[in-house]
Amino acid sequence: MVFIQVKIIQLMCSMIKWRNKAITTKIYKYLPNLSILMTIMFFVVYGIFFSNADWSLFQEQFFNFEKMRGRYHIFISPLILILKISFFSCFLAILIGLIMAIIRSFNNVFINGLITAYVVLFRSIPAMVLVVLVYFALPYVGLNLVSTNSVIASLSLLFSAYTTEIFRSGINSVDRFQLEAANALGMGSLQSMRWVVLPQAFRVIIPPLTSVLIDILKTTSIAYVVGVPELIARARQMEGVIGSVTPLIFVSFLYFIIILPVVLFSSRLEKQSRRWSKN
Amino acid sequence: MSKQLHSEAILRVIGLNKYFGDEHILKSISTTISKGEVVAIMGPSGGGKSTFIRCINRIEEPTTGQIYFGDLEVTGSKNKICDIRRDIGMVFQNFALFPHLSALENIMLAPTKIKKISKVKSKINAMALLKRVGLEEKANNFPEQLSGGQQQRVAIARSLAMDPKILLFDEPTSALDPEMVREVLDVMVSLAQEGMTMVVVSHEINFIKEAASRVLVLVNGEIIEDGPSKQVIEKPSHQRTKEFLGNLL
Repeated sequence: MVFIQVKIIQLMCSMIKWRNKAITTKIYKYLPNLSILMTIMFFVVYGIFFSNADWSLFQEQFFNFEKMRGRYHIFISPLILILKISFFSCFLAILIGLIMAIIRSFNNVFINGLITAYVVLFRSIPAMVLVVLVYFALPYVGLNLVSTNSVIASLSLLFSAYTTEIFRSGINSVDRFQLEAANALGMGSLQSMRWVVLPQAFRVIIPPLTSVLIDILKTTSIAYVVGVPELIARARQMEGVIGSVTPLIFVSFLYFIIILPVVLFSSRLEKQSRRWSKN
Repeated sequence: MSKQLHSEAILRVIGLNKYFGDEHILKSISTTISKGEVVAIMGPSGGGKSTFIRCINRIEEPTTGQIYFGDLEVTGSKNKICDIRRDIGMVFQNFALFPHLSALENIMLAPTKIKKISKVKSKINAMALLKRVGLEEKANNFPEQLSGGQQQRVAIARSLAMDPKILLFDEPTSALDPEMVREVLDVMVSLAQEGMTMVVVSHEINFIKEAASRVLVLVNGEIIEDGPSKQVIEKPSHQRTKEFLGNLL
């Protein structure tokens, strides 16, 4: 079946290589739809060629909503919890990243070294390790955090490393002359940052920043290691009780529902920030 | 302009040196610019013209030497530089308009954010400035929707909005198509006639003849010629100036 999908992709690639520009642009235009179509085709082809597949067992294992009846309310409080955790983590990650990127743009060699070290360090620590460290190790140095707060702290630390880099690349993408023009008008470095550089950096920043925010949302699941009753942990518990993987599928659907508005909001922001430019 | 105005020095440059690495770009330049003067700076490319004019408001950091703007030292403490720059307008070769703001917002930005002038007041002022450069109907257009000449006129209006005591022009017309040069020069000539002190890096010989009161010729980081524009253009004393002007005409 993988073979078939590879074949289809190869076929499409050869189509794209055609010199006929009209067809190629059309394919590019409909590529997202095509990929959805391909996935559906994959299942259809799978069903036809491998008709000995046990669909009823498959459904019982993964889409057994029968057994979940009356249990959905269990997910309400963990849902609110992860929304809370991700909101504060996103907020702090953006704030810390922005501040560090701005400080970094002042080009102080010593401070930049520190920030680079911070970025390298927190980009390489696995999320789970950091959550465990913050929750179990910090009390020894006299810092006691509630499990939820320790998750927020670790996620902000981890992802502020990413947002720092994103904001930095956004700031760097703005033409040097823009800063000079702002300075020549008498703006200080913070004023020119606020009124001239950041608004222009914004549109470069939005797409990668959205990815990071979505990543934060999904990484909240790591909270289960310190006993926070979040979505995945609850789903796995229920999995044991009802003997089906369906809760995990349901929880993925919940994640999709949360993430969709984030994606829509960001693409709207991006469109708005492009109003002044043709490209 | 009246004679008394000329005697008051607005800008004094004393022993200005600039190095880029080992390259000696400006070699101990000293000059004084009086109020109401229109000084044109000419010279072959690589001679340090742009570096010199950018040092005046310290967009480029001078290596050694002092620059005084009135009684204030430009080359002094970095904390005061923003206040000094508010009185020194600058127009760039590549316009450097803020692309995310409309023409009107470009002009209003500095007065509202730095001088804290109310939006209503600065909008009236900005519209007046746009009218002055002949672009009132383009107030709500973004820079990308304007031609080069229009962008440069908006840029001039933007620097005028801060009510500068002196205007610096760094090759304001060299990035423009020939037919757009005139519209920008017209604005500059009218500014000169109104008595604005201006320092202009330019090779527009007609503009210099028409509006400049004095010409500096900068070659290899040194001022080799300094005198009234008519004298420098018609009877240059230095051989290098003659060659340079010969190529220009």
